[in-house]
Amino acid sequence: MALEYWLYGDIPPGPIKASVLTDIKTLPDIFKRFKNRLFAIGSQITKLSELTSLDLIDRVVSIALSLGAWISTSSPAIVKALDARGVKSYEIAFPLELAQKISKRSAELVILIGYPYAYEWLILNYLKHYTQNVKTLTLEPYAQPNATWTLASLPLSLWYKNMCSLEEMLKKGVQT
Amino acid sequence: MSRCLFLSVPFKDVRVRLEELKSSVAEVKGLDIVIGYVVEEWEEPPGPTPFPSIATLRKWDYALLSRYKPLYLPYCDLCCLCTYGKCDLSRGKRGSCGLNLSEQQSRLVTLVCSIGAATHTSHARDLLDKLIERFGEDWPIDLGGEVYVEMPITRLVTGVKPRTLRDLKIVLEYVERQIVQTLASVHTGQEGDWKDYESKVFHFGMLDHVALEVADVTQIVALGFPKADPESPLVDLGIGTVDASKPVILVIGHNVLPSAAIIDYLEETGLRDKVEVVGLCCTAHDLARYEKKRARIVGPISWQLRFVRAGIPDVIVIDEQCIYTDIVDEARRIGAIVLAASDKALRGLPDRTYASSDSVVEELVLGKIPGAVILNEERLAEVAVKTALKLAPLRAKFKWSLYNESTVVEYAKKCTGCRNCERNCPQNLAISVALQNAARGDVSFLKSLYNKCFACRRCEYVCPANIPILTLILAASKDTMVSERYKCRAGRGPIQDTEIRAVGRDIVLGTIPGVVAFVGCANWPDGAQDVAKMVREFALRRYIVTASGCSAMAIAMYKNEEGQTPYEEFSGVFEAGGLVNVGSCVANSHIAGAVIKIANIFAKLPLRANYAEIADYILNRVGAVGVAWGAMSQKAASIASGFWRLGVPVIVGPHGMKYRRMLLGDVENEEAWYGYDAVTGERLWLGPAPAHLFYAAESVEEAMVMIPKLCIRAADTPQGRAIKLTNYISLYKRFYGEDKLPPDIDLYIRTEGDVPVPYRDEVLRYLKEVGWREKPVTSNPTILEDIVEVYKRRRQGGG
Repeated sequence: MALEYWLYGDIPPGPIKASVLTDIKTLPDIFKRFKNRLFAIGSQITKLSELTSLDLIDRVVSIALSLGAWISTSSPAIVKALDARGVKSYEIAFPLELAQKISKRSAELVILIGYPYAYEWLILNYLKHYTQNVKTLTLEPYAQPNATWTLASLPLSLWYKNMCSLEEMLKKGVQT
Repeated sequence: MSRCLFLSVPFKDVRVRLEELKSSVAEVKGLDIVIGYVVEEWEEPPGPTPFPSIATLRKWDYALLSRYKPLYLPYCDLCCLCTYGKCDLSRGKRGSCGLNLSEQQSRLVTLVCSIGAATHTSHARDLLDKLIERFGEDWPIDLGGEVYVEMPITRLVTGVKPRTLRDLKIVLEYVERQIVQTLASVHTGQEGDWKDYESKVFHFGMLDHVALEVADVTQIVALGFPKADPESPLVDLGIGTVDASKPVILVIGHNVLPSAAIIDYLEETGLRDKVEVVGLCCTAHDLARYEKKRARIVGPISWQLRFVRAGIPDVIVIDEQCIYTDIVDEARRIGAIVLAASDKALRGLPDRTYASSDSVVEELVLGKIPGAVILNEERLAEVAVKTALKLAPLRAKFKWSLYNESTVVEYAKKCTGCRNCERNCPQNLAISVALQNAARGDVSFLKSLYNKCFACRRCEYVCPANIPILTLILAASKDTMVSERYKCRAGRGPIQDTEIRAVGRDIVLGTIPGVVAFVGCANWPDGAQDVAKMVREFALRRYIVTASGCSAMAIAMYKNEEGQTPYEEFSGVFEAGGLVNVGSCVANSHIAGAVIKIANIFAKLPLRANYAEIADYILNRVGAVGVAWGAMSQKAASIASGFWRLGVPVIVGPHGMKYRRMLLGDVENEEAWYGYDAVTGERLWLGPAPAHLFYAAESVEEAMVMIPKLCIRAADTPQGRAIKLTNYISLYKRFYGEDKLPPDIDLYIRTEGDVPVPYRDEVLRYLKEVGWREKPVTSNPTILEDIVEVYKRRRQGGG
């Protein structure tokens, strides 16, 4: 596997590139380095769910809750899922408004999933240059070169398995 | 064209007028020398900023930018515009010239908007010169009996009240000169401050709006387009409306003159019934405005390759803007030919402008040349028609020649599952999944991509198995394409003064909750249906809905349960619950013109060269918002920037993030939202009304919540504010749950009178929870301290 095969087809990133996480097992080590985590879930999660498994949304919510992260979303489907679980630790926030005020929050690590690719690409580049105290980790099925850490691009079926594994790891109490 | 230093009035050739001049060498009284041509005076006294240059409105721009700061979204962290570079601008670094990443983004936005403004201006220039040549300089600017304030943008910006096409020459020359001056600021080592770059972005936008107005008014008055007609005809739209059994001439682009010439030629030769003339993109809108009921609109820009690959057109006539640059290759694959009508898009074709039409037809029909440049509309029309008539029988096999299902399946079997297609799809479409299913004989996934794909072909470019993916999607969707039969209202042009009088009060008071303009290109993130969905929602909520360009076409493509398109469902009047298609891109000027007229006709503010006061009025009182859900082009950027300078917020879809920066208000910064009561002069908290000036929504739900929010204005009456908040809250609840309230609702409630009645108890409870306190209310808000002085002078009878 070429080191940067995941950049193919995208606008090349700038001089500061994401670290690619090829093994899902490495994620807990990163999570535990940051106490204040913000988990941002985008509207595209419903489409990913349609293409992978209907339980994806539940699994993503479960990952966020296991991390003890503050959840931010503007996806009606996610809001519904959070309400169904009785989750209170979330806010409905639009991504740009969230990005605008993220530096004022105490978040140290922002985890993103479920956003339109280019939209997230640009929000991550804003955060990379203008909120350097905040680290970003993207759980998307496609690599995001402007994040601090990104998963490699993988077929959706493999990516979904990784999400399941991550959920299991966190549930089993792998130290975060 | 030159400029008088004393009067700041442009003139053609020379004019000097002095009441009195005393100097050490002479004393002159009542001198008035005129050589050449000067625009006729009009009754309204001159305003403060005629023919503004780059820095004239800088103070207004700074006032806007102190509220709505750029949030930069760099698309590239480097600069490679000069040979000092490439320079790495990441994380606070500066380039060799000294620019940092923020300044570079503002510089690039300036460049993008300059391209847009230049393109519209060039279009306007072409129309004006050619139509003056045909109709004469004295051709009157007559927009019908209900439009007394013609060309409000031109009047507002330049101070000129144009009466004839001749008057537009001086206006356009001003725009051209300013574009050159402003574009020069992008050169290495010129502008170096983001705020001044953003001011130049606004300047380009304002110039762009003047050019739009010149272009559209010129074609309306000279070509007999509908003049502010709310009942302009309903015309056919959709691939399925095209009679492919006839020779088909497809016109693509934005400049209607070649298309109009083709129609004229067909009428003159009695051939109109024998040839189909159909349009794509804005040329189609203008063709419909020219030929009215008979015209056919194929669809928005992204329908180009759908139509071409279906093999339907025999002759493709391209004029200017937004045409696939390899359309000649695409045409060649279906045996069609291309005629280029503009020297801005020659496409490598041989010039046959001065060849005899019969010899060119022969070259084209025999395939000796793939197309030709013909820079004369009448000659082009003759060649287009004659070629179509001869070529159509020869290429009958290409018509609707999309693959059958078994061929689609065979191609799909070649897919190796490398997913290069998906990695390159701007829409993130699940192409691999669709191909894998097709390989198993199920083409329904491919078909499901039809509405979301805008035919960029990036998937095809990178497919290692050379699968013609777009063609497969089209082949799987043939029945959908054939059934595309809709009705679109032809662009009506300006809004009537009487319509403005009828709604102006309710808009300013807020009792009509807003004017929502759905404009722009076809780069919709999830297909055209989202635009139609939003239009129907806001028309039903009694907003005034306007539309233009490709979005106006998208709206036509979705029917209600009774089988009506929105143009059949809603009235074409500029009224609450109306849906107004103004026309093509250049007709966006009438949307800007309408908001300006609200300030002028309803509020009776002086219009002439009075930009800052009018824009301040619009920002604070006219609840208008633009939605360019599929904005793609540089032109869309310059149109948007014209609206920003006028104080009208613009929402774009997620692809709009690629414009590199947003203009966001910071609701948590209380100090940012102070202004003045223009009558008392008191400094007041006006609130985040509107909250943002340029905003990219991630999803259609987010846009639908943001629209009512950005229609909120500082001058809303309690009743008006309550109506606006009712819409904001109800849409929020629809998407996020009946038990939810927008978390920022307390910022928009000034007194209990603002609380929406349907949610009264719930909102009051929330206000108590967050410790809400009453806020000041004013019916005369302004963000410019100078306006207080203006009001004072006016009260004292000082004009």
